Amino acid sequence: MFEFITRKIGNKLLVTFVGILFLVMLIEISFRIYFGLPDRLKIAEAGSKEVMDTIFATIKHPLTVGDSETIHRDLEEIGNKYEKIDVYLCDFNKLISFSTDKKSINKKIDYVIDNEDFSKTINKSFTEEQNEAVFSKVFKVQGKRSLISIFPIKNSPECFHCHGSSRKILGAMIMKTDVEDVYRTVIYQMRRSLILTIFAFVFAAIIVNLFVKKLIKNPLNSLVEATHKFAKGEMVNITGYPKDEIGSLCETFNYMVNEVAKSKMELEKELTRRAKLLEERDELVALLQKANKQLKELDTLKSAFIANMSHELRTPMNAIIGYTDLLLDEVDGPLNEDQKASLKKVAANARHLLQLINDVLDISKIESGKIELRPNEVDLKALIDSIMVTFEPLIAKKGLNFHMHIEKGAEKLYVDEDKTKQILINLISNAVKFTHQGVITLRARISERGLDKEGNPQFVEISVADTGIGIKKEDLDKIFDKFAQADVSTTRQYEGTGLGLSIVRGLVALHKGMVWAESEVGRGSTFYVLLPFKKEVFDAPGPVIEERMAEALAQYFEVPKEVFLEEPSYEGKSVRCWDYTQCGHVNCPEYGCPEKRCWLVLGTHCKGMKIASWPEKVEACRICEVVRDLVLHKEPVMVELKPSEKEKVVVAIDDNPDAIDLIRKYLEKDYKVIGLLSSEEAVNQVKEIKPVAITLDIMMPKKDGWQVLKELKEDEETRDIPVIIVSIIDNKTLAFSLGAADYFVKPLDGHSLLRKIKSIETYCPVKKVFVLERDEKTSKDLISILKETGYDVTATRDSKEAINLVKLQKPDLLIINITDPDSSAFDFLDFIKGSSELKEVPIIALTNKELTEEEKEALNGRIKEIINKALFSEEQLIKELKSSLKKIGG
Amino acid sequence: MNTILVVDDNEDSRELVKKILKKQGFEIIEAVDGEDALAKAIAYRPDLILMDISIPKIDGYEVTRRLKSRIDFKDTPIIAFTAHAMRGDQEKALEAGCDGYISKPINVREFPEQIKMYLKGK
Repeated sequence: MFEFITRKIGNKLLVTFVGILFLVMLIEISFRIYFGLPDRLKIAEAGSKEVMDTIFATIKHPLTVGDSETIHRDLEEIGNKYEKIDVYLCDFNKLISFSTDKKSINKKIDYVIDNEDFSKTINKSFTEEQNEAVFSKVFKVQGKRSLISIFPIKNSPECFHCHGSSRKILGAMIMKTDVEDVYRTVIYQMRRSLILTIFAFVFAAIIVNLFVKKLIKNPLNSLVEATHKFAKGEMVNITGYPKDEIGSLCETFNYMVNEVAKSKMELEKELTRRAKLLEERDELVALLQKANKQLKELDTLKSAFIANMSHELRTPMNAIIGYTDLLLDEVDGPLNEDQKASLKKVAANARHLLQLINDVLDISKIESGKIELRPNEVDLKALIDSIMVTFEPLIAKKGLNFHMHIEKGAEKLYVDEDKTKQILINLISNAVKFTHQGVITLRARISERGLDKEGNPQFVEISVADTGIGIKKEDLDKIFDKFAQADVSTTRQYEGTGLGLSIVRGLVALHKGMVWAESEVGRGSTFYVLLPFKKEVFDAPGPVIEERMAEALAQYFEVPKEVFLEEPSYEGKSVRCWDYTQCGHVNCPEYGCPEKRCWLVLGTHCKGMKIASWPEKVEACRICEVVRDLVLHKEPVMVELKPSEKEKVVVAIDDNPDAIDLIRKYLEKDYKVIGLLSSEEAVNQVKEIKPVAITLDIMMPKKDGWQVLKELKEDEETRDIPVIIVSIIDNKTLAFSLGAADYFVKPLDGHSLLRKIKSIETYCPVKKVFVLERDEKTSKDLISILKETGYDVTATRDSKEAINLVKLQKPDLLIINITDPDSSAFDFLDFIKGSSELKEVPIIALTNKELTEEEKEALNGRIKEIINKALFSEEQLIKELKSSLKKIGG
Repeated sequence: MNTILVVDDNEDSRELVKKILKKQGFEIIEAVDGEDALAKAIAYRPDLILMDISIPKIDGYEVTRRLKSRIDFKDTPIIAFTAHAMRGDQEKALEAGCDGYISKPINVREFPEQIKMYLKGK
């Protein structure tokens, strides 16, 4: 009940109003009851007094004269006139003499009006003189309330002569008025008031209720209802609200609902858009996954098939090439020229066929991810030179020119040498094949693409440009696909499998690099490859992506940049996506889309060949130009050049002296080759010789090459000397696992070996040499030897001048003749000793004689080498000096 | 005079090897399958075995394994001689106990030298 009231404002108001009304009426009734009766009694009393006065006036005269009859008659008249009034006239003894009620005459008044209070009152009024003429009071007489008025009849002078003056009061006139009616009337009135009140109350309640309902309850209810609905998510507006505070509340509510509905609609729209996008993506992913799965299955089947086919193809090739070569070698007797020419054609074509088979095999190996790289530092120029040897005859024959520009910093790559060779051979052979006149230009420079996290370059961009037939724009992206030569019609004119560029792409991808092409029909093509020159490229476990590119992508896709830095993966394989290109290509899935999709993120898998012409991920970008500017307008950072090599010792360990001789022949121009025929003592000898590199045969009696390699790598002294295996057996896996620097299978390619050693040997830190030699001839000789070996030489014959020169030059090595006649060289040595900058610089001392113990002491052990000129011939001296230089330099 | 066992199911291949090596003064024994190879190897005790891998009955890896498990063949070089050129084929051959690997097609001019090298390394 209470809850019902307290829960609704309308009810509360209603209860309050009605309560107040009820209270007001209650007070009103109480007042009426409280004041109503006395008022009426007062009126009755006043009336009684008046009647009494009238009666007394009427009866006064007959009373005076003792005319009892008139009194009786008058009283009878009064009795008839006023039914409710009884008038008694009693004497001093309270005996009634006259009365309107005849039955009461001669009865005591006490008897007639039987009321104790009245008796007392009348007695009082007889005994005590009372001033009031009339005394009225209500007494209960015979169960009825009566207003009894006592009018004492005083002993006035007129009365003296009959009654004497002894008494002041002669008697009294008593009037009894029946006031039951008055009481009844009051009660009636009270009842009427009550009924009226109740009616008014009910009426007021209904009216108040109606108003409350209309003004408060209804609008509040609809507000509450609307709020409930709104809370449940229904977007309802309230209508017909009043223009008061509740109305403005409703208005605010409506406004709020509308705003919420608006943003909800927008949110829903956005959600739908996102859901659609997600759906699209999921579909795409599912499609791609399905396609990828099918492709994978196909790939496995195809790889197995190709492996088998290649075996089956190579077996007859063995016989064809073998027998042809035997015939050409005239093993079975002499051939005439025509026969020879024909057989040469057979041999050339057989080899070409074998090349195709090998290509197919290569591509299948790349695709099945069976190729592992053995990256190393490689000298680009030497690599290209070794390739160009095979192309030179063809280039000359076609009348083409070949230019090569390798920019500073781009001379060294960190790649798998064989694979890089294969890449460049493919590119150059394409250029030669499709060019009939003009120039083929090979350029190498530091690329501004594929930067590391600090923004340093990691890749060299090698481009091969030709002035050949060119490639149509729409074909440009297909040329890297398998079996795709740009134009079907060119296939006949230009032989080839169409696998070359696929192989290139696969091998480049393995190097985490990129390949792309630009071309104009009739003007030529340029092929670009990015190959790493930093080892770190391979060290990074994840994909290579430029930090800035990741940031740009992250900003565009509104995700943290780590998503792009760490997670680009597809089908469990990491994806790199650091290149971009202007879109608008017909092959692009978004081609013709009204929203300008202006760049693509190219994704390439680190392993295998899943590098589509079009990437897995194609996204639009508003900020393409920003990204492009960011990436393209960066100053390329140059890599410092390493100082040139100088003569060093290489140890060749082989049980076959001919093999050592061969190695010596290849290396003698740049290295001194010391051959070790026995492998047993090899490790100790290596420790003594301290070569810059070691070549090692595997199959040797008593102790094989594996054992030697193991021992070399276990010894702290020899651990850092690079070991190159030169062997007839081919077990690169074992060799590299044991720590070999490289592996050459006999028959040995001497040029490659030389290049290899050059690239891996530790280089000499000494650059600047200072010579102090008084003897003019020796000085000249020294200068020429040192300059020849590649040093920066400063020489003087005066030790004072030497001090000044040395301060400026800050040389890396000092060669001083200490046995000059005036011993000033020792002053120079003292100066060196005292100089904080120069005291660590190694010194080679030349002497003209054997030094005394004293002199040796004076040198204080700071001299690295002492060469006694007197003991050597000129030639020997040079040799000795060279070996000293080597020791210090190495 | 060194004896060489040529195991190959392809007659032309065998003939080619025979022709080249005979010129160099080697004595050639031929085997056409795995069983034949095992029998002839044990019977003739060749100085070197050229072992084709894809041969009938018992494959070249298995023949090599069986021969290499015998004390009397421990020092006999067995050279895998196959047209398989996949990465892994070579490792598999060496794992099976082969001492070397020559892939087909052979280089007629270098082939005798390669054989001699292996014989020398024996």
